[in-house]
Amino acid sequence: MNAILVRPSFDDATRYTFAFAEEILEWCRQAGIDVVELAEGEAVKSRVEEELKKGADLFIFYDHGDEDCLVGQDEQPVIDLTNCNWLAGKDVYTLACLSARKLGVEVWRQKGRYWGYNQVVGFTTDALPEFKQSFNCGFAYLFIERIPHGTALDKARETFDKLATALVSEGKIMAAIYMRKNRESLVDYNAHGPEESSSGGCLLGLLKLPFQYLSARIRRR
Amino acid sequence: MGDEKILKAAVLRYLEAKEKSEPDWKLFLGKESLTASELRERLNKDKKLWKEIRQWADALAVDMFNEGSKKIERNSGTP
Repeated sequence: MNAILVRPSFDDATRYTFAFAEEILEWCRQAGIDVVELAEGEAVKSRVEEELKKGADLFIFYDHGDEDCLVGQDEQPVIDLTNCNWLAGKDVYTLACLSARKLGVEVWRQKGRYWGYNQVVGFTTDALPEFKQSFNCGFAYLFIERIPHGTALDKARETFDKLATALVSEGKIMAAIYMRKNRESLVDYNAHGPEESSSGGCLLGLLKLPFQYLSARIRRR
Repeated sequence: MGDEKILKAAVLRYLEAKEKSEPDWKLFLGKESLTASELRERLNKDKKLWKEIRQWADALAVDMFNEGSKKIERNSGTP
């Protein structure tokens, strides 16, 4: 298996998540996954596209994101809706805020498998080992232990739950609250499609359709 | 709502204690980082952030009760 690991580091949050991704890199090497690391100055769109052109089965991204993109070292998207076709058919594993909302859905539509978060990700400095474990556990389940997607997502959510409970007992209540929130926003668009895992569900989506149609008509006028 | 005021007061007290015991403590929310004192200030002004913390504190409480129920069932041998 060939992998690309992208990890920028340009602010306090990315310095922590850069360190979290170190474990992923070690696991890849131990498991014989051939991994190209694009860190810091190399975590930019041109280098990411260059490596994706060479071909990879797995794309790993650690840090800032938005609904429609993953953000690189220059604070510009390395992957967004205009170049996400590079991820078609690939496994994508991310720790990035919000990116599952639009980017993840688009990758999934293009037959990719997208592990990520559909809300802003939170973590606290009093529980860094626990947050690292939660963010990385899915990778271990999917690509080291080779557990199928649906089961891996269930096991990851169990891990988040256990960690949240343990954090409460240690008096790290804010950490527990954000562990719980991250658990809820974790998605795996292969185990479950976006429609199933969105909070609104299909029926709500259908109910929204007439309003979307009307607003589109109004915008056209 | 009375219950909400009690919860908010408890959260603010917790953050005050956190500020004293771990002055370097921070909460990261995406690109934003907040110290305990900054978070306390924000919670007094930012209704959306307070709603979020309240929502997940509630969810955590429900989880704890569910986990407690499971433990009781396991210990009592009921299915």
